[in-house]
Amino acid sequence: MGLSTLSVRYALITSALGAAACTQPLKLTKDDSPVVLSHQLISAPNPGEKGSFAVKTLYYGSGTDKRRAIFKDSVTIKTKTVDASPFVSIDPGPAKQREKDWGFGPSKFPINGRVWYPVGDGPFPLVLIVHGNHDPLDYSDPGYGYLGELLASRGFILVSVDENFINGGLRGESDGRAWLLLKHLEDWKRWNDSTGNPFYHKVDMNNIGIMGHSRGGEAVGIAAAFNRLTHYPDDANVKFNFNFNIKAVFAIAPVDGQYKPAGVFTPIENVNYMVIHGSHDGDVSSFNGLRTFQRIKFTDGKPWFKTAWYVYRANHGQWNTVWGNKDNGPRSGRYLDLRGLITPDEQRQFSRVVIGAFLEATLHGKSEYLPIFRDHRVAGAWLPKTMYITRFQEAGYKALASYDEDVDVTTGSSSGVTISGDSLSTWKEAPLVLRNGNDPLNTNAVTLGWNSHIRGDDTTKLGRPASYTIALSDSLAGAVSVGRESSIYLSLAPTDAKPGPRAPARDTTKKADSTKKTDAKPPAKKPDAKAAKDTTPVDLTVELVDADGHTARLPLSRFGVPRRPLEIHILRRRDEERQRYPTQFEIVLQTYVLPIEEFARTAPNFDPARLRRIRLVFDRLVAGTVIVDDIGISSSARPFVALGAP
Amino acid sequence: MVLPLRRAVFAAALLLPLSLVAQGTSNGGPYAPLVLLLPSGARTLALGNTGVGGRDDDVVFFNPAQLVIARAGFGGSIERYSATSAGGALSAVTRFNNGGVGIGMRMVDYETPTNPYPIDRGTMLEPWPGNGTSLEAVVGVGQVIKGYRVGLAGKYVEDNAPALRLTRGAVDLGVSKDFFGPYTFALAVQNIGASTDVLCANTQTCTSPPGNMFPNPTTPVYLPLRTTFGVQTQRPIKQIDLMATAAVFMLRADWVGASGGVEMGYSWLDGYSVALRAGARSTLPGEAAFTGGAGFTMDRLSIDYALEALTGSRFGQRIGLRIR
Repeated sequence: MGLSTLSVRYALITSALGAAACTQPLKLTKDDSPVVLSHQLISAPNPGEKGSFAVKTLYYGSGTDKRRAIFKDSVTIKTKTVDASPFVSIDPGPAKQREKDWGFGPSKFPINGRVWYPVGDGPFPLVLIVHGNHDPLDYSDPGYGYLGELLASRGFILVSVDENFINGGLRGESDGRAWLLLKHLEDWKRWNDSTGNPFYHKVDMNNIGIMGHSRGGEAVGIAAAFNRLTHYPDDANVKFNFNFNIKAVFAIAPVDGQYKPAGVFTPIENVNYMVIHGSHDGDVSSFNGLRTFQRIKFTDGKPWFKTAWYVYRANHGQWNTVWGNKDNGPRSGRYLDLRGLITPDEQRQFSRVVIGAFLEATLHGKSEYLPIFRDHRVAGAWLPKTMYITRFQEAGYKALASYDEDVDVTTGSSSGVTISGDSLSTWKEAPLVLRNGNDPLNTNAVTLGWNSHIRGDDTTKLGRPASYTIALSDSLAGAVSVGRESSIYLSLAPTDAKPGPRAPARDTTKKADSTKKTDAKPPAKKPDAKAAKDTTPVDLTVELVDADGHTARLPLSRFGVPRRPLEIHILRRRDEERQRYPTQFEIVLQTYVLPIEEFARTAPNFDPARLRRIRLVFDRLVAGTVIVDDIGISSSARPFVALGAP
Repeated sequence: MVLPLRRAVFAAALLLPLSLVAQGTSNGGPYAPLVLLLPSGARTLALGNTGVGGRDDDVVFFNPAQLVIARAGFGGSIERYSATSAGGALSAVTRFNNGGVGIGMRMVDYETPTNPYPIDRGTMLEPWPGNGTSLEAVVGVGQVIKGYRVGLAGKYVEDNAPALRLTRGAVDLGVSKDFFGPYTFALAVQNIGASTDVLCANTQTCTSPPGNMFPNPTTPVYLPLRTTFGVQTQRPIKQIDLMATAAVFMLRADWVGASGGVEMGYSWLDGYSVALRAGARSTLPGEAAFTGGAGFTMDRLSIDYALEALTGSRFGQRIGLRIR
């Protein structure tokens, strides 16, 4: 009565085929990095390579940790515990268990850190890095050792902050993670002022950086906000008095909005900010840090900047050597497609370069690294060969059109801006959303579509190129003081949408006859959904017009790569991927910073000081659609554009 | 230190019932209907017919309290006990209020001697001149009350033997709760109903012992009142999903038995998995101790196979299908 060998074999083959049918083939956007990253304009030393300082390590801690000797018996500097109970609430059952497991609860959280520091007199800038949520017993803090070795050798003190005891199933604890960081800084200030302490007068407390990963990535933003507050927003009886000179905030694949003081997204101001995120992040599967990037404001007139990098084929965990490539735990390889990921070494090489460059620029004042944040192509030799989309803005940026103010598509962000479109098939303003759950980015953008083909039998007939114009009034032009050294900002992302051919221009010389049957053909058929994807490179012309009508024109691609959406498949199963994500791409706009000087060089008659119109002319691709946001002008982008375009 | 001690206690709790597997003397019968003594699902059968802490739709046959957390879906299984006997079961569970409701039906078809009545599992396996059927229809509901899962099931049972037709109503009660993390503790009292003096269709064969249907016409036949206490746990060990279950049970107040089983599952792709199962049980007439089986899950569809050792070096084979 047993199953025959044949039927067993049949069952196995059927099962294997069934399983294989559900696993989708590896799909990646064609890599253009061999061309895009083929230049290296920055001649400064690679910030991802070790510097000249010898490196030492030590641990500090409260000595109460039951689990790890390094934070108990091996601490070089003993710290006092802190009462984090106003910030971290745990239900009684789990609280009891945690206290058993760790030996302490929120009222006695330890201040534990592992330190990599340069051997020398200093003072050295201080950088804290904090991990995010992960298995509490798979300790996350050692995973940034590779950054510790790098940064200490380059003259930074790096502390990997231990917050493993806050990990696990907690929610709403991100403010606690942030507050703990600031409590670490309080200790560092004390040590820097205490004779006999190994760090006495070795810490440059005027140049502090904080970095965080995942929930830690949100925590550093919260810490930057708390640093300037006098009271805890959720309980004003808890007073703050931090006021550290935090100049650099770096977020790695952060979450956003898990903590909302007074119900709003944490406002962050007046810091240099950088966020990086992998397209193939299997944990935080949307670029949440973009929202943080969008809302950072520069209000004090200092030369801050902010930048956001989207790294194709990078994941969530490979930036931490402990976390690895399985973003949702050791068994997540069952559903996460790991085949498309860049290697851990490549991913960490990327973080070495950009973290090194960011901290060198912001804490060591090495401005030679600034251009990389405006246009990553200037450092093509340093970056691993994958595709990057970058956002950028510095404090001098003045918005002309950010599409957030009103519903009138003809007005801009400053009075004196008039917007017009010509021959556009699509012209609408709408909110931008993240891929995961259509989570709003809290910013609007304009969608512009065009098709130069004229509807009819003659498929070669093209109409006048569509265009979109931002016009500046004389008074506004005077107020923003545009000049040869100014730059135009523009953030743009092409999409795969392709409007149908435009209607022929109406012959106004013929008399209209409403009784006559029209001989117009029916509307063109909708494009075949299964038609091959249009892979023609997207480009357009940026035209600047002065008050006398002199124009200067350059292609947008000179200042960066306008890429169609990068294809993302995080899950192994096609059906689950489609069910979970409404799109197989994330809309991330690329920021282009266009030095007006480069335009002026092409048109000697053009007078930058009398700029009146910025026009996007869609003359380099017959049909396409782009999403555009944050059109503006800056007169202080000079250090970032100094090297020009590759 | 606490953690290893706790693990040891639970390991003992899981293994203790297995030590009782070989025990059992008089089982307190005679019991009827026969179907209430038979397995009802392929996966549970492979685990020593232990299902009191189960979460599949066939838990409606084991413990209505677990309907609260049973996976919504439906399933069915068929078993061939011997060349002359076979049976099957159907069950379905859906969500209801803060728990779930389930329905189930199972039936066995066998050959039987003209008398005596009732027969046991061992007799059922043999060829006989008469035909018998036994069936159960059950409706159960499970809800959460004060943090405990509590369930109630009402059932209709029927035996059709050559000389009589027995019908009865009965009730199952259950309670369960998770303690210490992934450990489900469950208690079920099943087949609560009146014992009966069997109505005898043929008074001539009823009245003259020996060798007749009853020792005497008034000997009662019992519903197999069964009290089961079990524990079930599931945890990942590296890439393996391990599930263990064990139970001790008592038939009426006379016979204590035990059962248990282990399942090792492996998934290579989300939604797809294979599992191997082994179990053991205290034996009633006709049964041998060991059971085993395998399963294959493809998304919401599971196919299960179970083998149970029976007396006389025979094996019952059961194939089941579950759809969630």
